[in-house]
Amino acid sequence: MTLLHVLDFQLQSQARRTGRTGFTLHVLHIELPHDGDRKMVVKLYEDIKARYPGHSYSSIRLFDDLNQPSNGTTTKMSNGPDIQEEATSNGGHKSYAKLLSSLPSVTSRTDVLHILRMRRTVDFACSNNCEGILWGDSTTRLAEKVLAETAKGRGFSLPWQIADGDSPFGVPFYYPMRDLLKKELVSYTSMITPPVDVLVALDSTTNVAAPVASKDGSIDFLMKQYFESVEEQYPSIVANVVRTTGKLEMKDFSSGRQCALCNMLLANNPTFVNGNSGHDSVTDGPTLELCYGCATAVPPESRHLIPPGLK
Amino acid sequence: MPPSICAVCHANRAVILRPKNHAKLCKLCFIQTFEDEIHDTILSNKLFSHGERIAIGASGGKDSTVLASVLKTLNERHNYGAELLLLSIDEGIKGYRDDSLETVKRNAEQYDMPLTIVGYDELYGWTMDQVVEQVGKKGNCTYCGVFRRQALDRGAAMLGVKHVVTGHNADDVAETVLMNLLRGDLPRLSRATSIITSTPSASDSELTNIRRSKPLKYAYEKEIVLYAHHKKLDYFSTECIYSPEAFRGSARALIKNLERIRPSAILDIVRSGEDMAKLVPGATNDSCGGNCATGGALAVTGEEEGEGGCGSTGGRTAGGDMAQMESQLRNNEAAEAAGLEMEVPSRAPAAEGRNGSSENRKQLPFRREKNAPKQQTMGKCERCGYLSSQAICKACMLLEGLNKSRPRTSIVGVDAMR
Repeated sequence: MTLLHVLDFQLQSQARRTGRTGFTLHVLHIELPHDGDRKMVVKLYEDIKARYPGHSYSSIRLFDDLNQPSNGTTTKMSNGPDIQEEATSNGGHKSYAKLLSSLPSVTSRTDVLHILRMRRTVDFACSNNCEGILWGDSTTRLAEKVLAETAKGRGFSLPWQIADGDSPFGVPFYYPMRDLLKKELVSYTSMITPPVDVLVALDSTTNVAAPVASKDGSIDFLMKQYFESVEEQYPSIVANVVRTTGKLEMKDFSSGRQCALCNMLLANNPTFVNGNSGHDSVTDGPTLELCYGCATAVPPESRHLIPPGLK
Repeated sequence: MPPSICAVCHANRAVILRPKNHAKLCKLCFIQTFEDEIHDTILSNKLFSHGERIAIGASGGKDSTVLASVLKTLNERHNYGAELLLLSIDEGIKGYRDDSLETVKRNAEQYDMPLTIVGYDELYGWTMDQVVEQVGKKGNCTYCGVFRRQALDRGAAMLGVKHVVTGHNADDVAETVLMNLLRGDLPRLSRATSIITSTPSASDSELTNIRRSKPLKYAYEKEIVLYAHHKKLDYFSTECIYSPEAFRGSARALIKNLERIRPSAILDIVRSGEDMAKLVPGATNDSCGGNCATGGALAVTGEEEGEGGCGSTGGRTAGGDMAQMESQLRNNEAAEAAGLEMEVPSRAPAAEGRNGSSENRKQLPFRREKNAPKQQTMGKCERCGYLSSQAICKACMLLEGLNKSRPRTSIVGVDAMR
């Protein structure tokens, strides 16, 4: 993921040769409440800063009442003035932790964690007048996302989740590395001089002997494993998944209503479960509208913990 | 620990942990709930109309046996007024289909439904055993699938039935969704998720106007097995002896793992598939919420797997078709890079197919542009009259290929097939 820094660094130096820069970068690092070596992560962050000076850097925690961080680096493009990190600890973010700990399964927690991280990133981008968010997702990562989101009942939101351009958040999303395989990125980080692979946060999941899809795994993790194996033998299939999904149309739902948690646009009858699902009834009070995926992830008894929306 | 009590009737001891949502139920409540859910599916999707004659695609496997049993029960209980028939396809696979057909024959007696068997043999002049002998074990599922789809329609037409129900379950649908994502086939994805597919008639010949529906679309495979077990149904559980496509095997293994992590995942995938079907370019956003399938794109290339058979073979991966697709994709990429127009290599049309052999037809070069628009226009196959977007339908295409090589490899068969 950190490879994006390198790409942008190159862009930056090109721009410098012409005497002016077309854009400025604001690098945002979000610490997740993961178990991980906090010191290592902070050191990585500092190293990266030292290696690529001249950009604005921010490091925020996903929520402030838990201290164990992990990686989650995104780079953002901004034209506005570089504002230093605002010490956010508004109430909304505090309740993230409560919400997460109330969720019943690893899958739900991972799912919601990713959503919260995205919302946090968007929040940050908006408050810093960024014109867009660049995500470091590779083809492999996007393909994982396609199948994982499908498996979580979020198929309807895929066009918005992997396409470049407008997002339902009001800030455009871009995936500049959408055509590169993960293994290509890994090779690249070690080939350039000086190699930057030391700056890449170790992906804890890939090194651990893979526990074969136990009950305690998450869907996201399962898909990650799956595509790592597919990528080995059939890289074109990985790319094809992303390309195919890119062909799905973004339907403009006239309702204009958005899911209270993930912000995706809702169809006219969002929580109607066709036939008979294994879920409890997913009818919500009028106050909270959830999409099918979020209704699946967050059981009714935890829904009051969902932080208020972005807008 | 005291024995757990059924969550529905609160009286009997729970003996079943529902795979779908881990509810603890007693045997009777499970059977009741399972049937009620199918009933709901049928009602909410308006699958049947009163007095309709419906053919059940029966393979003798668990899915179609349970389907027949449940439909019979519900038909009587809720007075659908449907007339139920059994329709079986004999692919001609020794050691598999001949045995399972015996099961279907017993079922026909048990459920008191008339049974019709249509053989590949009589329809196409080839049994699957012969096809496999010809094309090898790889890729024969394509033949079987294409042939079966037509065979079901033809069988239904023989019976004068307008509606065929098949035993596709939630696992099958979810599997197809993932599989089609993996191989990048959006039109097929949208078709597979709709509970009713009908062949909108460009022509209204008897063949083309037959509806397909999947009443078990929301039923978990595991629950179907449980139902069959507790109702002591007589079904045939051997799997097809020819190996499945790797894509399906791969998708199937993935689904089993997903189900282990989150039981609702199967239905969630089905739901995602339904939602995505609405986003497929060219899909009409009609009022029936994607259930009416999409425009004209659905009927022809369909080699949806039939009930039982190919669908139910455990996660064995042959790897063949995945590797094949990989290399095809790479070639496409290379071609794209070189600015070349891409064409899918076609089977050269040569010898006349069996169905059209009496007439002297002009040979049409069969080419499919890779970038051809998804929306197909439907016409009739020149040879057999089956609905087709091409001049010659897929089954006739495949037959042509088979027949062409037949004289070379087998001397005996030539006259027999006429």
